[in-house]
Formats: sequence, C-alpha cells, structure tokens
Amino acid sequence: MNKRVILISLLFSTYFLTGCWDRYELEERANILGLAIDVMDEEAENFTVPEITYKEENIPDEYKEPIIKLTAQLAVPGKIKLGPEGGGGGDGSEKTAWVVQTVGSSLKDAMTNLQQQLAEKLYLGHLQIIVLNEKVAKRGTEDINDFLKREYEVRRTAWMVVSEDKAEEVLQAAPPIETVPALYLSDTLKNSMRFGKLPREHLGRFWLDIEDIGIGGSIPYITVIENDRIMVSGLAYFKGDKMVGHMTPFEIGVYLAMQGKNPGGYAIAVNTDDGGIYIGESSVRRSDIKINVKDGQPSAQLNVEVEVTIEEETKANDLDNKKVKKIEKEMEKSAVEKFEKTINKWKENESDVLGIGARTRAEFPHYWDEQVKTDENWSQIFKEMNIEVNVECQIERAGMEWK
Amino acid sequence: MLAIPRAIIDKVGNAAPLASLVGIGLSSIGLLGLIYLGKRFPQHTFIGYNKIILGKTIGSLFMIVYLMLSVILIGLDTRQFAEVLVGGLLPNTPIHFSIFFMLLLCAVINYSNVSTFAYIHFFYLPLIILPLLVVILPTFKDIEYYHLLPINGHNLSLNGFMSGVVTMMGGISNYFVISMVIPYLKNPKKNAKGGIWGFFIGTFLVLLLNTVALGAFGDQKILEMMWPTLVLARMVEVPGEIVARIDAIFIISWIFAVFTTLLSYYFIVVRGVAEMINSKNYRFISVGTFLIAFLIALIPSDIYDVYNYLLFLWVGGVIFYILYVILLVVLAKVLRKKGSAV
Repeated sequence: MNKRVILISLLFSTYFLTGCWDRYELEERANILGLAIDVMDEEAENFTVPEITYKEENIPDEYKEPIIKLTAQLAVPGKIKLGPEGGGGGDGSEKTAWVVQTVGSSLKDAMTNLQQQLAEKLYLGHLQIIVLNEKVAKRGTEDINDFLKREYEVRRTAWMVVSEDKAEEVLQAAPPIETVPALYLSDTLKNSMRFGKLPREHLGRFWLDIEDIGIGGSIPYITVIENDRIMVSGLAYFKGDKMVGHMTPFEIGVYLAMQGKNPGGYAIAVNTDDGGIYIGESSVRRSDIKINVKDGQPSAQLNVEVEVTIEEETKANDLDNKKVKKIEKEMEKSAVEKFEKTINKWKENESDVLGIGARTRAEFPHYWDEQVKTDENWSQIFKEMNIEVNVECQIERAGMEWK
Repeated sequence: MLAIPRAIIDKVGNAAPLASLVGIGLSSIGLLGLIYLGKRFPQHTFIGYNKIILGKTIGSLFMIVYLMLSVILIGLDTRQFAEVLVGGLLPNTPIHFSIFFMLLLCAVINYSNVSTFAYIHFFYLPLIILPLLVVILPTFKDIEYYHLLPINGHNLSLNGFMSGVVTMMGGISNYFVISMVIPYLKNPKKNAKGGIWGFFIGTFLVLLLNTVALGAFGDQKILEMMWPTLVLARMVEVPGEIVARIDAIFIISWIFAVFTTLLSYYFIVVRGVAEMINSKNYRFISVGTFLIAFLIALIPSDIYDVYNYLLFLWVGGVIFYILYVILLVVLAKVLRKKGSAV
C-alpha cells in the first residue's frame, strides 16, 4: 500500500519536474544576425510609431526627432538553408535571410516594436554586425550602446560599423558565396583586421574607448558595392558617443602606424626627381608616443618606424643601395606630411583617437588632476597642443626583382 | 571573483593592484596568526582555543558574533550567485530555486565527515583555476599601459587607499576555514606549508584578475560594469577561434568557485555551532543553517542592496578577523595558554 502511494506520487511529480524553465528551443528563436539603424524619412516612408514603450511625453527631447528605423536580418533555423548551396546569389539577402523593418524612438523601443510583429522570440546571441547610418552615429549612440551593453546575449566581439549610405542597404546586400549575408560582412571586417587594414575595434573595444577619459573611439566606415559586398572606406571617429568625422583608408594606415599596430597593411606611393614611381607597403610598424608637460603645456612627440617592402616600380628600373636611401627620404617626407594632416583633422574635430589624453593622465597625474580634470577640458587642450611627428622608413625588401 | 575588481577600483581607482598587494600582505598576518594558533592548539578548532584563551563566557560571545557573520555571508553570497545566474544565464528560472539548490547541496555535504569536504575542494580546484587562466591570459593583449598608471591612483588619500585594501582583504577572507580544519589534519603541526601555499595561489589569482581587469578596462569604464570579470570573459577571443564564447565555460567554473566558497563558510558554521553546543548532530545544525541562510538570501530587495550589504560585511568582518586573531595570539602568549599535546 505504502509503496503504491510513493509510486503514484513519484509519477505525479513528473508533471511538475519538467526540467528547465529556460528551455528555449532553437526553432523558437529569431536569431538576429545583423541590425541596421537608420533615420526615418517621414515623408517618403509611411511608418507610424506604435505606442509601446514610450508615451509621447516620456520621449527624451533629443530622441523625438529623428525617429530611427531599425532593420534586422533574421535567421530562423530550419527555415533558411544553411551551408553553401551553389548557384543563385546576388539577388539580395531576402532570399537567404529574412529582413524586417520597424521604427522607434530609441533602440529598445524599436526592438520592442519588432518583437510585437514576430512569432519567434528575438535572440541577440548571434548578432554579428550593427550598422549605423552616418546620421544616427552623428546624433549620438548612447541608447544603442546602453541597450546592447545591458543585454547579456550580445557578444562583445560583434562589430559596429557606420555606413555612408542607408544602413539597411548594407543588410540587404547579399554576397553570392555565403548563405548568411551578415556572416560575410563580419568576415570582411575580421579579415581586414588580420591583414592590418583595420584596428581591433570591435564592440567591446569601441565601448571602452568611447567611455575612457582622454581617448576617442573609432569604428569602421563602410560603403556598399554593387549590392553584394562592402568596402571598408575609412574609419569613423567619435567624440564622446557622437561621430564627428571619418578617416580615409590611407589615414587608417597612418592611424595604425602611429599606434605601432602590426601587421602593416597599407602602401604609400612616392616619386623621385628622375621620374620613377615606387609603391612600398608597410610590413612592420613600431611607434613610440612621448608626452611631455612643460610649464603646464602638454606636448607630444610621435616617433614612428616603418619597415617597407617595395611592391611596385614604374617608369624606372634602377633600384640599388643609393636609390633606396633616396626613396626612404621621400617616403619619410611624404609620410610626415600625411601624418600631420591627419592629426590636424582629429584636432579640428576634437577627437583624440590616439589616446594622448589617456596617456597624459597616466603619466602626469598631477598635471591632469589639477588642470585638466575632465574630458571636455582635455578636448580643448588637445585642439591646441603641439604634436610633433617623426617618421623613419626603412626599405628592407624588394620582392623577386633585383633592379 | 566577479565583482571584486569593481569594488576595489571604486575605492582606489588606478591604485587597485597596489591596494590588492597590500591587502594580501595584511591578510597574510592573519593567516600566520591562525597557523601559529593552530600549532599551539593542535587539537582544537578556532572555536575551541578561543574558549581556552578567553574563558567560556567571553569566548562564546565572540564566537556567536563570528558564526552569525558567517551565516549572513553564506546567505548574501548565495544571493549574489543567484543574481548572476538570473542576469546572465537563466533569466526565467525563479531565483529562489537557484538559492535553494545551492544551499541544499552545501547542507547535504556537511552531513558527512571532513574528508568528503576536503575531497570536494581537491576535486574542484583545477576546474576553477584553469578556466580562470584561460580567461585571464588571452586578455593580456588588451591591456593598455595607460590604464594601469599612475599606480598610486589619482588624488588618493590614505584613508581611501586603506578602504580599498580592506575591500581586498574582505574578498579573500575565506582562508579562515583553515582554522577549522587544522585539528582534523593528520599532522596538525605541519599545517603551515599547505596553508601558505593555498593562500598565495588563491590571492595571486585575485591580484592577477584585478590587474588584468584594470589594465583592460581602465578605472572609469569598470565602474559601470556589474560584473567586470564576466565582461572580460565575453571579450576574450581564443586564438584559432575554436570556441566563440568563452563566457559559458567561465560561468561554469565560477559556479564551482562559488560552491566551494559557500561550502567553506558552511563548514565553519556547522562545525563551529556543533562545537559550541557540544553536539555531534551535524545533520540538525546543517538543516538549521540552511533555513536561516535561505531566509537571509531573500532579504536584499535588489542587486544594489546585495552589494551594499556584502561590502559592509566584508569590511566589518575583516577588521574583526584580523584584530581578533592578533588579540588571541598575544593573549595566548601572555597567559601561557597551551593546548594539550597530541
């Protein structure tokens, strides 16, 4: 009798012991692979913002205008084909992933609106790339950063990029060789980084830099090419959480050289008086940033050493010891010029991407605590400060040709 | 382990590694004191010799305070553990269940004898240390020297610095368990070597963690993070990209770490109470502790409360521990009290 009672209660308990509360099947998730954030053009597109999160009077003033348009690339397992499947492609990413759009006043607001339209639960664990339209980046990225930081699913190794054109176009671009478009985009960036064409500025690093004192953040600036791939056309740099400008690809090279980041990936072309044109690619970069505070005036000295390999020679056929020295001189001259120009650009926009402020704060704490104190003061000082650049180029190799 | 870098950096900013080092130094005084007492009273636990030195009434009074502190710490630590689980791993699982099962596990293990306790620690040690190293080592490339300088912090007063030191000492205070296991050792007189080794391996890891977290995040950004170490684990990219997300592994190892920590406190409480009331009924005490700790874990209303209480107790507890141990050592010498020989 007693055994029977135990048996029955055990059987009955299976109703309550169904396992995990957090059981959350793959097919029930809408995996967001990419997010694109645009400014909504109210006249051309007729979206209305549903009243879900905010009440009209609760919307912070700066978010009232413009309203953001969120585009998400979703992959629903079992519903998209995974793995390469020959043929097709180039038809836009709608074929392989699902692209949905909605609007909102801030990112969380837009995400809530999006969830309101979908059967599956949004899942951010596979988010690869977040594309911001330039206007959004200039409006300020506080809401976007905060939401993504707070959400524990988001990987800090995802990428955030700024797009020159509409951000949604980036997500609609579909490379013919990869079935999940967002993966291709993030691979493009990851490999650029490996080849020395981009700094290691994924989400985690970017967030560190924009919040640190005395350093500005930077993220890739991209353009869509032929609707199926992206080009890294520069690096957007920030002052606080607002984008203030962007560098050209060559200036990324300059930026990386100043930081001494390896491997080198950018080339520089110079011509000598006798008409030869030589292109050398940097292979190893070393840099030393020296900071000095004299009479309450900070100044910085950048000493950059670049090892160069000659990759192309036209209109001449005369490489030798002497010529190499001459080319090095030319390269140094032109590099210093370019470096200074780039620095002036940063100064103008008050964006200290090199972290000179952070270094000053670390090395001269007294000066910082007494005279600078805040980030805001630093950007004024940075604007005025004297930054000297020395570049030393050293041509080490010239490929398979002797001359 | 998850919040310590933030707690210390909040107090001392860039001076965190230095403060940690000083904290380790000061804590080691407490450790040496305990080891000395252990040698002097090889057959008694902390509770036991403190009765001998201070007399029954005063000794018991102090011990009640000490044991209560430990029970409260068990409760709060469990709550912290459960908050991380809810916040980062299992958002839908009711928090009561995480607390309940963690405490239940501790309670059940404390039914049995000391060697079970020792084997569990022995078994989990590598499972804690290895994943922690896996997280820490690849982050070295993210360390910026300008996050670490100046090593004495910005505008830091001695008072501020000391509060950071005390926070660190609080974070590593569970070496206290050694005072409860000494009499169970095969050779209590030889406890010094093992105790010191264990202490320095553990504290070195905490020091490394603080330094790496500061170096990677800087003294500003880290204050905004709930659990800096967890964020660190999420930023790590393992070379070769074998696994994309380290943080899952890290959380598992962290669960082991919390478990062994709680188990230590629990052990102190169960054995301590048993010795105080001269009972061997560990089961009964274990269940009682379980109920009290469970209720305490439910007291804080939110995560900020949890950390306020925890920090308060850490600081209070540490001052109590160190001063008390020094007092005991001095009194034992002056009064020439000695435990019976083995």
